[in-house]
Amino acid sequence: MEDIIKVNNIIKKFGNFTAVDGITFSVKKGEIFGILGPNGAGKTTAINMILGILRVTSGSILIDGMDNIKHATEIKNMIGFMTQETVVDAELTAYKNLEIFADLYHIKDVDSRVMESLRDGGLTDFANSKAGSFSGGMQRRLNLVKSMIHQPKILILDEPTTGLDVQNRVDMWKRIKALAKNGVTVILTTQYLEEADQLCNRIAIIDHGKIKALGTASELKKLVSNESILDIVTDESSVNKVSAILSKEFKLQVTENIDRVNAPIKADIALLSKIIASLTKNKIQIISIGIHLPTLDDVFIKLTGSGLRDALGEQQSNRARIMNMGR
Amino acid sequence: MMGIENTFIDAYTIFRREMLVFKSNIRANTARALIFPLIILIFFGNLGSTSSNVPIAVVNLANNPQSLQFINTLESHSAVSIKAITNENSAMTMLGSGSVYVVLVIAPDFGSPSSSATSIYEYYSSSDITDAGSALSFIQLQASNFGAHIISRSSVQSLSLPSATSSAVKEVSLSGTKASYEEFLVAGVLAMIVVFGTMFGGGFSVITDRQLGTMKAFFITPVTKTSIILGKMFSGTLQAVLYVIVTLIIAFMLGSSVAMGIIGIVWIFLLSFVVALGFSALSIALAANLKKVELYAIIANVFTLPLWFLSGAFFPASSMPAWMRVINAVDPLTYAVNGIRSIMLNGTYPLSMIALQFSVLIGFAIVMFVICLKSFKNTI
Ligand SMILES: Nc1ncnc2c1ncn2[C@@H]1O[C@H](COP(=O)(O)OP(=O)(O)O)[C@@H](O)[C@H]1O
Ligand SMILES: [Mg+2]
Repeated sequence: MEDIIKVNNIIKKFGNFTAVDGITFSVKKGEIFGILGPNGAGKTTAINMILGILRVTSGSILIDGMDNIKHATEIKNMIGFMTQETVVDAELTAYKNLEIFADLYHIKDVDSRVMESLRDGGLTDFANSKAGSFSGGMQRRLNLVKSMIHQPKILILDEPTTGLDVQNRVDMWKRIKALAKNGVTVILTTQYLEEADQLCNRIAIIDHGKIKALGTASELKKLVSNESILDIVTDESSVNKVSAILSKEFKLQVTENIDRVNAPIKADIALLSKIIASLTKNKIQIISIGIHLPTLDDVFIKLTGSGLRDALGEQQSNRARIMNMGR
Repeated sequence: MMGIENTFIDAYTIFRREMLVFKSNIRANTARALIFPLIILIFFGNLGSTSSNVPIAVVNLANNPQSLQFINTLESHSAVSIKAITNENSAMTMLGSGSVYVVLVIAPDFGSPSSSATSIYEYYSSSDITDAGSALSFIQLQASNFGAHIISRSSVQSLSLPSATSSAVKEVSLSGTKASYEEFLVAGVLAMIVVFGTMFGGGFSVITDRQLGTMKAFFITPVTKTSIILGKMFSGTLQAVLYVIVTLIIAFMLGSSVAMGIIGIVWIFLLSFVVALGFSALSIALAANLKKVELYAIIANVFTLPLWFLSGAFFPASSMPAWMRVINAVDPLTYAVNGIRSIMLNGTYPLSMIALQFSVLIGFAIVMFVICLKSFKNTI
């Protein structure tokens, strides 16, 4: 398949701070390409440069073979973009919101296109209601169809589901898959492993402005191991002891992560029960133990030394709090 | 050519969007833009037209029957209260200490039939301008009955009596027998409405659009920054002209009138339109590189309040010290205020004024538009 977007070693510096530090990737026509990384990784900055609304410090971006700055107008007609924050004019009706952008793209039959978009967004009944009165999910759908009003070949979605509840998230996934099926090339950024795993043909994992790995979900998972993953959650103070036992007694290659110990392992129940027996004998408190296939989180841990969720800080602090309460 | 055509089509789209947003919030927007100027008009204007017993001192150099009769007439009305009939020096001392607001010097030629020139000098302290304003217009009215012509000036620095032929003194703009301070103020308040209206309309929307992400949404469409600027300039301008219409209606209800009639009102709209274009562009240029509304509000005030004060909106340019008069002369708002005042008070708008004022204001708008284009970036 031909590459529709080629990003070549782009760098963005804000003063001394390098937000995007030499990123290179290509996006194939018709695929869903995911950029996965925690908050502050540089996803939005990279997207803004691809869109041409933020100048690169160095590097180049080709879209459909054209330089994205030199051929800005042609490229802007070709790309649709939905920002991380929902952007609709709260004071205007859904119809007017769409009409303004249809006009800015010089669409011929504005009314029928707007009505079509409202139908796509499931907003036909709310055409003449102010967008400000909509629920978060409805505003997001309006935002999505607005960014597609000119039927772009390429759609860029910056964290399309952040802040949505589960129902609206699943709905958004369905919409994105349907778009790809219709031949639209989609680039999306996300902090959610499941989202990247479920939705994206290929994923670039990005952290601190650098691509750590790039490939299909299964390619990335193979980076960790061809085998399964042993996952033990324990007391923070016991992590070292667990590691020592696993590596000495069972010759496993362990990675530690605060209160968690992981190691590639054969999916073998007998081995697992031996490990449990050994840990019990050593009087180590185990919070959870299990074997699972590698996940993108394992990939992330291996590549960056910390879990994506840990980078986000949420689960980690929750767990710490719960454990402190138990003491 | 297609490019230029699209620029205007897109500008119209942006304009429509701005006006839709404006319309959806019209009451709050109007209140926000009108409240301060209207308070000034109602409070200060009424202070001017109703305040009575304004203390004045009279220096009667003519000392003839006509001058005595003139003083009697002043005394018989409650608009002014004559505190002293004395010599120049003590009168000026009284003015300096604030015990009187106006000093009236009746020149020796007062009442003489041959004298068509100046015969009364008024001195007032600019700190008492609102009270002095009503006294001045009242005195003017009475003086005109005696065929006397009035020369006024602020006495802040000058305590010396001018000679009858002195060219250093200037006529205050309170001409026309019906003029009241309120009517004097209307032109200045209209100018203020335009400035406030454009600051809320143009630059303010640039910042909120940037904060809410709408600007980014515009930038990813093929729309050019020229179209965005033009759309916002003209929507800010139309909003300001709408505020002017509302203010004029209120001023009429308060008893003001336009001496030039309907044609004059049309000229006032045209003047408001061109001055609003320039100030819309100014507000967009100020907002072009700002991210915070608070900072914009401060910077916009720093630019517009002095321009407004020094335009002669509030007190006549003749009462300003020399350095302020220089700023007054280069302040585009001055030209709008002078034009509107001539239309409202003198009832004429001579071609020479039209040519000067419109070329200054259109020139200002063009310069500001170019500065906008330079400072406004279509990147985030
Ligand atoms: N305009 C800017 N000026 C300075 N720093 C910025 C700017 N924009 C983003 N950054 C910084 O660059 C890093 C990457 O930001 P961003 O691209 O928004 O991350 P992400 O979208 O992955 O959460 C962050 O540390 C952020 O603080
Ligand atoms: Mg982001």
